Amino acid sequence: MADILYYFVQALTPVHLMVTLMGTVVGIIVGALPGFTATMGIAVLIPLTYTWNASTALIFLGAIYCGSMFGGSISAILINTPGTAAAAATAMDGYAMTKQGRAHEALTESAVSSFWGGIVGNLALLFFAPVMAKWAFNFGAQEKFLMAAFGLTIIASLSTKSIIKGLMMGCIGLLIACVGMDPVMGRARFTFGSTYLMGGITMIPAVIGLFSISQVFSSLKDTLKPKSQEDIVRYKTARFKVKDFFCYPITYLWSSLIGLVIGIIPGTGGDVASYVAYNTGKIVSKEREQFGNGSRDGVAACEAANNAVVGGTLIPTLTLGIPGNATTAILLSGLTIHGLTPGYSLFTDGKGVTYPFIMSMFLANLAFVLIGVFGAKYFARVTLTPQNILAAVVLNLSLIGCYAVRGNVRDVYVMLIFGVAGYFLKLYKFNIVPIVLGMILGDIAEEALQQGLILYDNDLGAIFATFLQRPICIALLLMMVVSVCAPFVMERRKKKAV
Amino acid sequence: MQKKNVVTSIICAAVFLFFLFQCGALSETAAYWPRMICIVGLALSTLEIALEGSKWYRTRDSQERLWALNLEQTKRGLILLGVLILWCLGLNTIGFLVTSLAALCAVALYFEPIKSRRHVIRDIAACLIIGVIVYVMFGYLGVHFPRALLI
Repeated sequence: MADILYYFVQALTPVHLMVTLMGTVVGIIVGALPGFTATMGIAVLIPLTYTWNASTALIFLGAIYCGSMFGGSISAILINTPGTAAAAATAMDGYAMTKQGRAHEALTESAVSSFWGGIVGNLALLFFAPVMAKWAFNFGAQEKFLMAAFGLTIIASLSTKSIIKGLMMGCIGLLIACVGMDPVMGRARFTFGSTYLMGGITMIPAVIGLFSISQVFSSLKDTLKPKSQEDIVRYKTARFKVKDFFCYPITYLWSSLIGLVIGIIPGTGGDVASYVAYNTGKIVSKEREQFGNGSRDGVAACEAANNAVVGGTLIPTLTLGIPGNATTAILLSGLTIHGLTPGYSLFTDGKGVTYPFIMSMFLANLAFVLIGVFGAKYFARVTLTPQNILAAVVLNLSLIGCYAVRGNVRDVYVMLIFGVAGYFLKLYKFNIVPIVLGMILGDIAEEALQQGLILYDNDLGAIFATFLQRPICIALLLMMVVSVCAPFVMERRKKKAV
Repeated sequence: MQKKNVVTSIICAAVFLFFLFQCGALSETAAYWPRMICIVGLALSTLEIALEGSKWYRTRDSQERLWALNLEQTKRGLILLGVLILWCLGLNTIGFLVTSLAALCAVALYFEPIKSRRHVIRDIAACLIIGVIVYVMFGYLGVHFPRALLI
């Protein structure tokens, strides 16, 4: 305990505090800009830290990571343009709240739940990192496949109005994820001779197209009306209350745990975590009937989960040298640049660097929650912008954001195609979220399945048989059954009650 | 809605069928997973066609229009799509910034509900300022925009 306090004081030195604040602000901006992910932000800013000492550099990069996870939700809530793929789930309820004139409330909840998620993730990183990293080793191909399959069962709860249509969209998403190279042999698949398609369809342009471009088309469909005076007054008088900090303690806890566990598993990330947490919320929350129509609890579930992922992904990164996702892979390179070797030694020989870094992550969480809750009413005013100007700005941000991903104009065309497709799908009452889910989980599921097939001589039956011999698989299978059945049971109960 | 559901499901089925045929040209390992998806997708589409088709047959709503938009909405959508396509085409030929500013102003002005002098000036000023700020900000973050005839 004395050690922890000592390292906490180290994180509080003026230089470290300044660097934490700077990193958090940069992270929020990077996260809020569509197409500009934490990975890109850290990659761009690593050269800046070359001359810094290892501790300061790591603190700066960690703060960017924390800030960006929260920042992604700002644009998702305000303009339905997820700044990061992880914030796509937040847009479902966050943007619905904005449309109801509750943007301030959604932003506050996003900041608060992100804070709690981050705290749980960091606590796990601080106290249980080595133990949890060893546990993550038990995740074999079977567990990963079932994890992805469990993720896909979320489609059931997202599409209670028409499960078949939802599943069809999920299949379309899975097919889109197949475009590019096959994960085993590395041969081109569904590329139709195009070298561009060999790299696969990038997530960000597809998500931006489906969410924000389709939204612009929908909002400009009819003649626009000026903003109501009511909204202007509401945002001017909005105040943060202390009770906002503890609105959904149960949601914060279980969503954070979901995010933490998913974060530890390499190859998954905030996007998977937020959908899984959202689905769980839809089953267990008291506000479950409001989910999808502007539920504050829905925002809390997604944001707590995707911020807990930060701590989760850092566990295998720091203890085993296995990056949990692309962002931690870049962070890992930052570690090596500064002469640190990832592994257990970071918690023994290198603890003078590692622990102040972990402590500063708590401070980064504190920094973004303060910026979030006190800035919410100012951020919310974005929605008071005349709709034609807002639409033009969203288009501009989306277009530049897509281009920024790889510096390729073809990504912009992809965004446009997905945008138009998303618009028509919405017009014909299709849910577009399963497409995104399919795209996220397709790669994970296929890779795990192919690994299993190699291990069991292409015998699918043998793979399925092993599911019942592995405790984590059994737990995941049970969770899948609950996830599929619960929405229908609740729908039936609701109908009976009416 | 049944008529729309049937037609959209037929389109989805056609997509799955197309990709199922494409799987034939792939190696066995590469085709394994997408083939599974296509078969499931095709089964779901067929089920949806059968279910919605039978409902449609029972209700026989001849008033239901297949196209979900009215004439004005179609026109607005097409104009927006046209601007976006021109915007994309201009990025590499005219220049990123100039095309973006022109497209931003075009969208803001066309969809402005009150076409007064004050509103037009406000829209143009807002688009130019925001457009330049976003361009400079992304440029500062290390994004290299294509340069063509103009900026």
